[in-house]
Amino acid sequence: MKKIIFIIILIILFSTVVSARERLYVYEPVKFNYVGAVKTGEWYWCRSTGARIIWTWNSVPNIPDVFYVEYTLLQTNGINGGSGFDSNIKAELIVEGQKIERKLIGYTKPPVTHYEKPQPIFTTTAKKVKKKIAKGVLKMENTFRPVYDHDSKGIGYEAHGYVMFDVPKVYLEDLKKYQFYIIIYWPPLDNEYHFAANANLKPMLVFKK
Amino acid sequence: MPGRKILGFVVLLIIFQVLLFPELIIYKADTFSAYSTSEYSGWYWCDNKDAYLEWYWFPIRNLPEIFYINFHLKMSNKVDGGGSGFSSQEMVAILLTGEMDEKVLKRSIFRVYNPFPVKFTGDSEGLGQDVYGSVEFQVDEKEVKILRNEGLRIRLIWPPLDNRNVFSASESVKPVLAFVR
Repeated sequence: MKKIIFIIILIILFSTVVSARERLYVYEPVKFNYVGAVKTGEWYWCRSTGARIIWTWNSVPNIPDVFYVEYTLLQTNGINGGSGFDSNIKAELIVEGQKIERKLIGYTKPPVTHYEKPQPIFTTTAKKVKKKIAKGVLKMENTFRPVYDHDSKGIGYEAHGYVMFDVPKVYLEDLKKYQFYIIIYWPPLDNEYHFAANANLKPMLVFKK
Repeated sequence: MPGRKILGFVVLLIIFQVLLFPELIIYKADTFSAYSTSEYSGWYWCDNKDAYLEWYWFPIRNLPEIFYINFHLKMSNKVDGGGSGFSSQEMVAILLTGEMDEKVLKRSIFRVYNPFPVKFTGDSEGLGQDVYGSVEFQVDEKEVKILRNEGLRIRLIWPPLDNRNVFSASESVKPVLAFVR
């Protein structure tokens, strides 16, 4: 009996210490871009094949291999569409940066008058790094009801959701060193509903550690 | 006169469209009240059995028998220093008649969705607490007549049926009553 109580106390102490140390981290992107989207007011609408929205983050030195990105988008079923629609959207995580490489090409000659160690001579070259390192599905949810498939005049378009990325360990260092970006593509995976992003409504990269 | 014919055709087309496609109609709540709540930065938090949030809509003459209320609320594990990512599958909404009556017409259970992906029990400093949901109400012919004359009230009571998460509303973020007619 004493042993059981002791174990329970140990578990409680352990979980308290773990939860006390855990912190929530949130990172906003630094750049918004788009390809093939149509601007209407503040919103960039993706509604044709190849249209995509791109958000760029600076490197995150403490990023874990599993993290999430939360989005707020507008979604509807077509031009002048209706309310209550949502979809699953293909997302890709791409890292891009410049890797500086130093190469030893020789040594300086020592001067004649006094002794000095020869100094190494390097050349530096910048090598572009661009890798697709993870894929994910951005699951959007629009809770507006009723679902109405004619022109709702912009009512009931707002959808919220997140994508989870599980980055292979070999690429984790790249995320800690280089800028990376996340692309979301039209069409969604399960329908051809339109979606739109707003440059002022930034997605949030979140994790706890 | 071809001009007249075209005009006639356009008018017919508009009438046909109006008849064929019902319209989405929305009404934002007219008044908001909070009882036995704690206020933080304009959000009124429910965290005890006496606490509730209530909205009133003035009489809506064309209110149908099925309608929806769309909410944007906040939810957390505690009022002060609460965390992120909390939601509920079973929020309780009560439909009352008129502005002051205590006559309960219906009780409905609905889900609120929190899109914030990380459940964090420590202080998230207000992050990840927004939740969204809609509740459906279906009333009969007699009941809808009362609502059309007296207006309707929606009350959210604490706690949700599936947990003891605290939730709040702001006067400026009004729920939207919506229906197709």
